[in-house]
Amino acid sequence: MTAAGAQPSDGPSAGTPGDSLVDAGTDVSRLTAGLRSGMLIATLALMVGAAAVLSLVTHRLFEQQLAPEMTRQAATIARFLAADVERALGYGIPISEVVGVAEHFEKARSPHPEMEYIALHRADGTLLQAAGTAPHAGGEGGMTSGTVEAVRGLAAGRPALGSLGGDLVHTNSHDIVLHPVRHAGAVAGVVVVGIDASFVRVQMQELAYDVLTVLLVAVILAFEILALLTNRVVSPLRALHGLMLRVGQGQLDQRLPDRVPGVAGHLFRTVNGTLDALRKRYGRAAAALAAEANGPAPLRERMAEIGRRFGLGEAGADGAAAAPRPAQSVFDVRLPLFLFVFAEELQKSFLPLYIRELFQPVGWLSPAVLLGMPISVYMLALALITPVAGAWTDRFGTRGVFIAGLLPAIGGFVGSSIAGSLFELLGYRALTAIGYAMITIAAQGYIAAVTARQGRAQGMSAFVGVLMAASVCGTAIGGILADRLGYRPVFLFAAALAALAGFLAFRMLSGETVSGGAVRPGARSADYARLLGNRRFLTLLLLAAIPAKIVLTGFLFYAVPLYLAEFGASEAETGRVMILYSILIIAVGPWAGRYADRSGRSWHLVFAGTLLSGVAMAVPGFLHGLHGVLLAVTLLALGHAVSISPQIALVPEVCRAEIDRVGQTTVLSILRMLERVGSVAGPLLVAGVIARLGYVDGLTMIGATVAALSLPLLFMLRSTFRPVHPKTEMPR
Amino acid sequence: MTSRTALLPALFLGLLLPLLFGPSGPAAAREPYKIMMVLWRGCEDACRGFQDYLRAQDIPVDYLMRDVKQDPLALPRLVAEARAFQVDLVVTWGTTASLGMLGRHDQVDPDLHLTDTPALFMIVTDPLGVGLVPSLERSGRNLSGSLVVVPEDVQMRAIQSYRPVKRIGVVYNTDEINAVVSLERLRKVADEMGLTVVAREVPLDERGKPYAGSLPGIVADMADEVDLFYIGSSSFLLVHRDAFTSAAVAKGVPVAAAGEVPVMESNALMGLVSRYYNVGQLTAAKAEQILVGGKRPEDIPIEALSRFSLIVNMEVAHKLKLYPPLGLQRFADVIKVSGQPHAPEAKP
Repeated sequence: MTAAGAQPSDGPSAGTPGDSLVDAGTDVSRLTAGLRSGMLIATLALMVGAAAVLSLVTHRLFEQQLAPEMTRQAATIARFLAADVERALGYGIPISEVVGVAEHFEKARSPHPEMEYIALHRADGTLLQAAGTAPHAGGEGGMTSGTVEAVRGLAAGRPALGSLGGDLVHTNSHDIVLHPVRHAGAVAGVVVVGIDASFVRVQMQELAYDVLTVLLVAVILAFEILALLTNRVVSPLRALHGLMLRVGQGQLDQRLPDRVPGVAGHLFRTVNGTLDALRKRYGRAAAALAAEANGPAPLRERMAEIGRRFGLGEAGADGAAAAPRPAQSVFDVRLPLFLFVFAEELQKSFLPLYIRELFQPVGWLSPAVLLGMPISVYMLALALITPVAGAWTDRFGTRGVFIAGLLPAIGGFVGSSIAGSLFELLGYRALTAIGYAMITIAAQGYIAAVTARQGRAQGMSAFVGVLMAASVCGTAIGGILADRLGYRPVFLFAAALAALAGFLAFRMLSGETVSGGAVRPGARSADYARLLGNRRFLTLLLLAAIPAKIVLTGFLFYAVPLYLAEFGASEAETGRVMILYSILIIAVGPWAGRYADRSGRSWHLVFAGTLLSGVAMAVPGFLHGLHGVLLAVTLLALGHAVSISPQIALVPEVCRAEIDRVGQTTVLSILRMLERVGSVAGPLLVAGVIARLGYVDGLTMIGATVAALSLPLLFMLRSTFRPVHPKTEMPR
Repeated sequence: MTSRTALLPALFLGLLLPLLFGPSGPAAAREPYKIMMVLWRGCEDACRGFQDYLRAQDIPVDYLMRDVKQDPLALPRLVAEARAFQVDLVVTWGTTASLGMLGRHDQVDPDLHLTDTPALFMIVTDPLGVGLVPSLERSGRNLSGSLVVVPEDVQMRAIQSYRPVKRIGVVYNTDEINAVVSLERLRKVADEMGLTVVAREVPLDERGKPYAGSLPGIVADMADEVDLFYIGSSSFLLVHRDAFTSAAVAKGVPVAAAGEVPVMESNALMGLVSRYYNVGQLTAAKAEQILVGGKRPEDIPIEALSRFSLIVNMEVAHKLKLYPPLGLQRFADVIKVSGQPHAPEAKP
């Protein structure tokens, strides 16, 4: 879904004269698109099919094994508990006066989530004591008449449904397992274990969600790999096609790159050889003509004219125009970047919970704030290292920085997995942030270097697309892994993935590529001062950009995992809720960007989005539990999707004078640097407020503040005019 | 020490013979150890536990059983006898017998007390308090032993698991250091657990001795202020257990005891105790370390059991309508179940 946006319009057909040639150009585009979608559909069909079959088989196995196993366990527990009651009766304690039955039964029940209740009934069916939520006998329209009947039947020696005590009995409300309590040769009571009939269904549902998530991730991953592979085929084809078009137009001074591996290289060399031979023959003919001093002048002129027209001039083979280099493309960096970001995002659904596990109280800080520290420290390290990483990229080249960035990143992952205290974790997360900054900046630099100026926006949107796709995959898979393996192994897994990303980067990135200063033009403090003196820029920064980051890191990254854990959501569930954000940004974001460009209503969108993100945080105040969080994350994602690219689009309008002086890229980088204040402050701020007011009130208050702060943005609408330049870079 | 010199070859034979001749008792291989047991009132549970343990380990022993029948004057003669028989180990039962045979650590008289023969004591309530040893980690003497008392905090937790109580009543006599020290420890523990201790001294009679006749009156007086009476370490209350516990039960207040006698032989509801049988086994394990393992007694720390037994007197539970919680019954030794009075607990 990300590459599709970047690729199709990249063709060389623009501005090509000649109808038939244009047709040929579209044919190649169509062909490559067809090839990719064909492969994608085939892969997709295979994967979905395999997953469906696997799920079906697992489902059947699960059902066949799980239900009887549950019954068996319930029967064992019922038997042991009945023996306990029998012993008490043996001591001469009347069955109605046995003390601590509920507590004792609860101890047996609590490790078994599928057991809804365990109850002790008298032989006449009346309920004596119960652990869990036993339905009250006789209450609610004979809800438990089935249980009473079964108990009486067992007491009277008539086993229910022809079973001996211990087998499963289906009553109208529950599946129950019974065991008699015998005393003095008679049945004095019955232990009843009530099994939650929906337990298996819920378990299956969980499993299905996990399978779906894995499938989604597999599809995205397959897409990335397919994009890479098809690019390996398509981009030489496209280069060849472009050359043919130009040759067809009579530009014979063309060459394809020689040093390309594989079939493409062979093909390229053949074509080059043919063209070289042509140029050589022309050169020989022209030389022969020139040597014939008394030859006909018109013929010589004619010959020179042909040479000029077809680019066969004296320069000969050496003068051939440099062909675009198909060996280097955005695709080289996509997969390594994807894998690395994937690795980093694995922790997102559970990091605050992991921190809580390592928690040690520090006197002067509230525990909630302490839990927010690792996210803030991470963001801070990221903010501080990013400009430095940009400078390194300029000096040492993108590949070097990308691979060097893996050292702190992998060190940080391994350290995080073995961290013994909160402060160790802080350090290791900061280390990871350094790696993350180096790698993403290097990747950005690579993309900037290999894309032509006009293709850069597309390249950057591909970059953001990879980040988002990797975020979806990482967060979702991380949640599932944490759910099954625990937190620490996930970081080790991340380290392994990062190492793989490094290996791919080493193999695939071209060592020659240097960013050429395209990424990070240095912003001086005077530039900061000038921008901060711009009231409209300041408004945009303080009321929209920074609040957006506060909400993102404080609410989504910090509060959501902790709040969801409060009511027992698993890490996998948390991961699923969190990826909703990225998915919506991917789905809605580009549309909002285009709308802002077309309509010029950027301020409207920024205002609406900021307001919406504030409202989103207040949702858990009205709608409790998982659904509230789901709705909140949805609204937040929509708010950010409609407001973030318009924020960037507004920059040329708001900072016209500054852009004229220092350039748009510098202004944008300053905006990004400053909005990171919000990223750093977000977790601490939200944590501090939550510590005082609790989750619901705290989030409502922050949300209300963000929403209220968005109102002054309305005043900016008056002075709105259409932005002149379309946006050239996407936010990260 | 002929037996010592015989030890090594015995071990060798013990190891080799089974290899050479297949399964054959190692007991047959060695001359039995000679152990003198100095008992206060016959071979009861601790004594049996001791002997059963060594038997189970296939350690051959010849016992010299000496029951002094609560007569301290018989002890000096036994010291001489132990020397004469060149026994490998002397085991003493109870505070008086132990002190009589071994002496206070700071007043040892080699003529009156055993010094050259390794010794183990058991069923001594407070070996530190009576001066038998200066430290529980290392006795500094040619002896070691086992503890029988259960620490107060463990006691209180056991009581709470039977029934949550807030106010603990204690009646104590001031002429026994044990009783006073035990009360102090209880107060400290109660403080930590948020419990209240209501303590009352037993008045003295004209001879300056605590007056047993006052017990029913004191108990009746205190009954309204307390949720439970606790009998810690006190020989006086142990002797007058019936008067004390019956008065409490009559007032509907349960009694918990730190020893098994008030529960098993009187009307205390419950007690968390070291079963004497188990203490005997623990002592025997130390004997094994000395005899077979060759360890020096002063290197063996004086320890309590790590697992205690909760005894519940069901007869009293019925009277008070105060039944042990179902979960507790799995671990409790329930005695005096109607129809089977004085049911003995399961014994190996």
